[in-house]
Amino acid sequence: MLLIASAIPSVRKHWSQGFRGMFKGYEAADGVALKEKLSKLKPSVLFLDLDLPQLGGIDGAAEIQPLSPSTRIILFTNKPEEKEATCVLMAGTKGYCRKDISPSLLKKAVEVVQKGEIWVGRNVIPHLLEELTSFTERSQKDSLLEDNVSLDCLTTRERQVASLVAHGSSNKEIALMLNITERTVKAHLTSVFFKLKISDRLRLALLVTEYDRART
Amino acid sequence: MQAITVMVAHPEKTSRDACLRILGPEEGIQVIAEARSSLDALADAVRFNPRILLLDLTLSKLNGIALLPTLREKSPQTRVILLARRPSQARIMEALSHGAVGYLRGKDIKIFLSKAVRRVDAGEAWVPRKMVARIIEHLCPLSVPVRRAANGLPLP
Repeated sequence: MLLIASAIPSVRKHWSQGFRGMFKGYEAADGVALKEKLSKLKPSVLFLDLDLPQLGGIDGAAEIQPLSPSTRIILFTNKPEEKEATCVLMAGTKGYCRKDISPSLLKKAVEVVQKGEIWVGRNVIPHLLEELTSFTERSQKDSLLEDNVSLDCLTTRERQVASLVAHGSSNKEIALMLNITERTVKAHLTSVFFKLKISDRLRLALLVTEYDRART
Repeated sequence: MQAITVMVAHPEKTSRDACLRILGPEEGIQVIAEARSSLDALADAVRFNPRILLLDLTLSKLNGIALLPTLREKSPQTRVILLARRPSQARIMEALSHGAVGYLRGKDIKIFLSKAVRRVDAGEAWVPRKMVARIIEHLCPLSVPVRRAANGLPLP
């Protein structure tokens, strides 16, 4: 069941075009009516005009989801913006598109969100990925600083070996530089890998570099 | 107009050759380097600054994903598309979380490789629509989660 919320009759008409007979369409023309109908009807999908009076724009849109957590909300705007799209998607909206979307695409949008997927322009996805990558970078920096798995658990010699690996030296070169046997170098490395819970030189190199950077 | 420069990083020569065969005839795309291991890939990417890096997910014994953060830092304009035969969702998400912007699975490589390279060069991502919901869940674990059945598909 579909709920259509817009103050503009031509917009409501445009959106309901593709759905006559398929969905029992309900309508709301302002924020008050929307909240009432949303709580009462609990539609499977809500088409929501971001300019709806008494809604409060995207902040308001983010706040109405609790009225019917199972409703999939698709937001419509005249001027889609990638940053805004990213924000509303992270707030739980399932779709974000132009008000003048074609009826056939709108039908597709409903199908997509009902399957639990997201309906949004392709151009938004790189922004989401940027958010994801920044988020991951921040989380890892935080955990590197907080974790007990820090380079402090290494002995002096192990720390030396680890640094040299991080600078790209081979075991042979490390052995020569520290005046120990290659076998000893390998033993130190095994201990380092074990203590840091890693299994390869590349990861070690990245860990050391990151650790040093976080502490400068 | 400058060609889109591409680097291929894959442990198997047959796979690297396949990419070369597909991209060779394409106008405006030029493969400028190949690598067989993570360390080679990283060193060469930093040296040649390819616009696109085609990276095998399982690159050698060293974890291909591990080089992504350093690559992001040392060669920020390089955009990474993963190649994988049958990648696990977890690995893909991990790679995307570290800066990859797309992936192609075995059978899709032949059909979509050139298109993916061009789109990613233009600033787009190359991920299936289904991936978007998962990316958001990953970003917002506190938001209302999509209820999923045992096989991972969302419940209506």
